[in-house]
Amino acid sequence: MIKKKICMLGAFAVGKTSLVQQYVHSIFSEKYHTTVGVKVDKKKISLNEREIDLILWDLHGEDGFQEVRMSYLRGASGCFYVIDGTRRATLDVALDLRKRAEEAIGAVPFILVFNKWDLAQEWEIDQRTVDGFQQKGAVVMKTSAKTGRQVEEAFRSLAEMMMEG
Amino acid sequence: MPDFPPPIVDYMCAHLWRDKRPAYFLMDRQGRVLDWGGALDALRMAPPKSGQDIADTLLFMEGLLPLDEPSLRLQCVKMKPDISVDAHLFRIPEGYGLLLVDATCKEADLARFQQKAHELLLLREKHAKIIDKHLGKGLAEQVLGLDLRKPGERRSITILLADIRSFRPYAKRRDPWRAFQVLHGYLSAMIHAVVDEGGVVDKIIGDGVMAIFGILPSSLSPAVQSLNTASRILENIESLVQERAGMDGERLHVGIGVASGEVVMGILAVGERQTLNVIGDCVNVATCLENRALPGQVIIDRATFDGAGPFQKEFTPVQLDVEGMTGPLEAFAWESAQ
Repeated sequence: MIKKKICMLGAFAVGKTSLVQQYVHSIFSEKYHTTVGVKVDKKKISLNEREIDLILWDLHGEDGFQEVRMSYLRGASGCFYVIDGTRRATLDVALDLRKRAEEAIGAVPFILVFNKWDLAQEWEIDQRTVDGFQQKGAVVMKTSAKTGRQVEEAFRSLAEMMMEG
Repeated sequence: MPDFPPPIVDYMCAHLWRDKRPAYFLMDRQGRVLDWGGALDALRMAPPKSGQDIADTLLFMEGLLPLDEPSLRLQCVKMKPDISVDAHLFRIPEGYGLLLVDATCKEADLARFQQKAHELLLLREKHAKIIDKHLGKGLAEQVLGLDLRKPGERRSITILLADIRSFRPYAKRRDPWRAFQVLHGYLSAMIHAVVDEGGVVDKIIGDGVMAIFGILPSSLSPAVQSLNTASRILENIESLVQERAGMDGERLHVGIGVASGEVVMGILAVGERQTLNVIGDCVNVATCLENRALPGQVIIDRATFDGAGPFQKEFTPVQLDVEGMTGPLEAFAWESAQ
């Protein structure tokens, strides 16, 4: 059995836990519940007729009080950097985390996930900004943990990237 | 580790460690389990098989070995919905040791603090959007839930007005730059209190602030939110007064008026500029009460008192004669302990 560790990184309240909950359990809660420390979940998928266990590390979000310890990323094969489209500042947090993660564990496949697409009318991040990351070669996805939009696709894409890498 | 006498060590083991329900695993260099023990039952973990990969027993161990550093500590790893542990992974001659210490209570305590902190941060961000309403067309509509196309909406809200007493004569005797610095400190103390309690700062009027409660969602009533704010403003101002003690000899305090009722509110837009407007009798009542409030005093109207919940016992009834009103205005006053 192939096992791949994936870390969910981002500012607080961007939807990391909701994405995992939607992907693994197909549930979504409107109420915000903060994550302390880390929750580890597993999802078995089949990719090109191979069974893979995705080990999902849902880490606490970055805020003004605490930073994510990079030692948590040890052994990660891929990362999601989650951004709340309605909060511009969360993009900066995600980019900073990506830089620190790369310094800590080297270059691993990653996806920039712009979450909360169900609130698209409130987004503070425009399409041009999103396109800019794609033009630089980053894989970018717009998701909604609430509706499930692009959630399955995001995890599957990262799994494919990790298997190729 | 210092040489503790046996009774102390016994006590530490019995009361500091046993309550933490520690469990351990010893592994070889490949991460295969050699030995285990401790409170696996309490942590609701099935015992592993000898020689089993530790990652098959503990999901979070996947990818962690081999260790580069002598030890690694993972805080608050959620093992079950109601069980969290601190995991200490360290090198030993045979390979690795892993100690799990119950962190369920710690995680619950941290979660309570962190949840509140994050909610406040989100509220501040939301509030910043409201303040930016002059810059972003449509934003105030979305955040406040008001429809720009409608002439106005009726809402039940609470208005709080807080004003620095005797600031104008104070400012006249001071260098303008110094006066501005003091004003900035006082207004910040008031605005932070409003934002922290989920209010919306509607206007800054000279040396005072007008705040509205009942727009942003809250589990508290607008009246209780406003009185939490009033209490916090008085605390913040007292801290400022203490900080400034001895600086220029004057103790500036604030007076606060609060009134509740139905208003018509809406966004008036001229070109790109948008302003929130609130029209209703309670605005006038709050102004009147704030004018009458002495330094360090909060005066509220009957409607706010009725919704004041635990704050009611702090207030005493007062009758205010108001120009233009046929009878005295029924109000309630709270003197700050300061």
